[in-house]
Amino acid sequence: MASGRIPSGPWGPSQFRDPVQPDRDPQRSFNWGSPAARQHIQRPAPATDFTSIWQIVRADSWEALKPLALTVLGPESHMLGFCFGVAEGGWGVIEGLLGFLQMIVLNGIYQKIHGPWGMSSWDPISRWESQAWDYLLHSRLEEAHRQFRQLMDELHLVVSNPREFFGNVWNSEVNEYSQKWKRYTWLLKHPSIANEFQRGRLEGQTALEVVLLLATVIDGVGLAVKGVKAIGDLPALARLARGVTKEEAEALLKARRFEDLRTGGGGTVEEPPVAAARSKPASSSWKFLPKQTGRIEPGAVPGTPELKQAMVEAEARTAPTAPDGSPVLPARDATTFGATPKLTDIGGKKLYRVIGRAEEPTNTGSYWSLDPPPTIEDEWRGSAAVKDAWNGDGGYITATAPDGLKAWTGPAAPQPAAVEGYVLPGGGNQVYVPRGTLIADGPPQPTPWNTGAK
Amino acid sequence: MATPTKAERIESLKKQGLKALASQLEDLAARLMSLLSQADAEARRLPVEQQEGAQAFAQTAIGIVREYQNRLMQSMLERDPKGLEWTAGQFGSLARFFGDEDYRWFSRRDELDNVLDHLLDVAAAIFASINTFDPASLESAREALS
Repeated sequence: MASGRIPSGPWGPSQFRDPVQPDRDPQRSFNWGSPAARQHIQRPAPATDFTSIWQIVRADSWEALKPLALTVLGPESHMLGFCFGVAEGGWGVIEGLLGFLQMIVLNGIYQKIHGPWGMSSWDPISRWESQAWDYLLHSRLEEAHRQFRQLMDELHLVVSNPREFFGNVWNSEVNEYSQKWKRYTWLLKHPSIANEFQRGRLEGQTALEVVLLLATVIDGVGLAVKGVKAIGDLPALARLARGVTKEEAEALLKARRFEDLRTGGGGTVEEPPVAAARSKPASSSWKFLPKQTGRIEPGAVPGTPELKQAMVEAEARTAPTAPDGSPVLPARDATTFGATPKLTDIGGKKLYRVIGRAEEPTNTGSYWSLDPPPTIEDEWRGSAAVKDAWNGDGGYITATAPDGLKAWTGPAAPQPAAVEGYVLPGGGNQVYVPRGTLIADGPPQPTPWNTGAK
Repeated sequence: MATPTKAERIESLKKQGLKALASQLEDLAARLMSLLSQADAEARRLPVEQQEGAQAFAQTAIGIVREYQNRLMQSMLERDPKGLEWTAGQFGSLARFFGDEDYRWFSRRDELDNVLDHLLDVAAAIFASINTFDPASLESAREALS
């Protein structure tokens, strides 16, 4: 069965089958930069009409459903992210997935119609139109909403009590999934416009992950294998899980860990010989990670007018004047802050700096954070707004600021991601000190997501 | 007379029009590339303990700027405002990349800094001139490029 991998962003890279020309061979790499390539990718239309709903209901493939979902839900919407999270890896593997995705899209429409005014990006005219849709399609939309709520209830149940449902499978995968699901829980508690799509995608990924794991503990007649309880509490998820063969679920979980599926399989850049030689820290058994290319950076989100405005403002930011004796913030570096930076006493504080190649302990760089590297690359790249092209990362150093040291602090400004239409939203705390101000406490350590380090 | 702020410089540049700004950006990118090539050559002659970091910086910077140059040229050829906006945004992000790198060893670092600062202003003016979320802005940018 075809893997049906799809790209990790709402417009997706060109390995997607083109909805306009389905016979056209999918291409391997991202090439949205070329207008010639872009013309084959269907972008969302600026407005929707009544027929969109019927087209969603009647869509006979994900390729047909995808542009409709983009149009009616919007590229940054939570529900669109959910669709992508499930379809990334699940398409072509789970029987009946199309109906499931249609249900998610219809639920997204239901939420737009019934949510508070502030939640909807639709203008008042289209809102009247949406109420007409609701009048005509109420039962279908309401049913989709009911099914989605049930699914979410089940999903939260599984994520909160994994051992109840996965038995031995869970025991062997405990570290991997506990990290992912911890992030899932964290993101749900930190909603923002900027990461709605990302949150939805993570939820969808988690749902898919749960379905695949359930498929590995359900036997040929659809019953839970020995040692696994409570499958009966998950009728919606179990129904999907029964549409996957155990072998396929195991193969997919084993061969393609979730993060690889999500990032769309971007390649790596061959490092210059010098950089490659330097990428192995002295007296260490681990290596820095190679720079990635051809992917949407983990943590990147679809661009929005608000993020665009934030980038325009950052680029025009002027450095505040430094009082006598304080470090000067170069004009250029002021533009890397998402708000006017403040001069702060960081004396005695521990600072962290993620690096992609070794630095001399006495000639460390300018950009630091007061927060340790998070457990997952998405959080770091997204909040620190660090592009793949700059930093393959994989290691970090720490330094303790001497008493009385002042530094410029503030949120990191958003940066354009490697793929057109996406942005690394920034917002994480950023500390600027002139190069060489801080002395590393010790040799670099691998970042938590540098899994090849050990 | 007070030195204009960055915001004032960007506003002033915007008056030149998109086509003239894109052309300036091409020139500045070419000058930056030329300086980086010289930096790469100088890096190879540095003492061994400095050489690795210096060469890694120069080679990475050359790779990044070359990619943006190609995209800029393509956007200009195809009169593609979205491509131009994306490229200008990428050039703008060089502020952070260069801000975190050490090239004090480079004999023409002041010239490099001047070219880079000018390039960042022009890129910011282009980026602020095109709103990809506004069809009218895109249409106007397309006309300006033709």
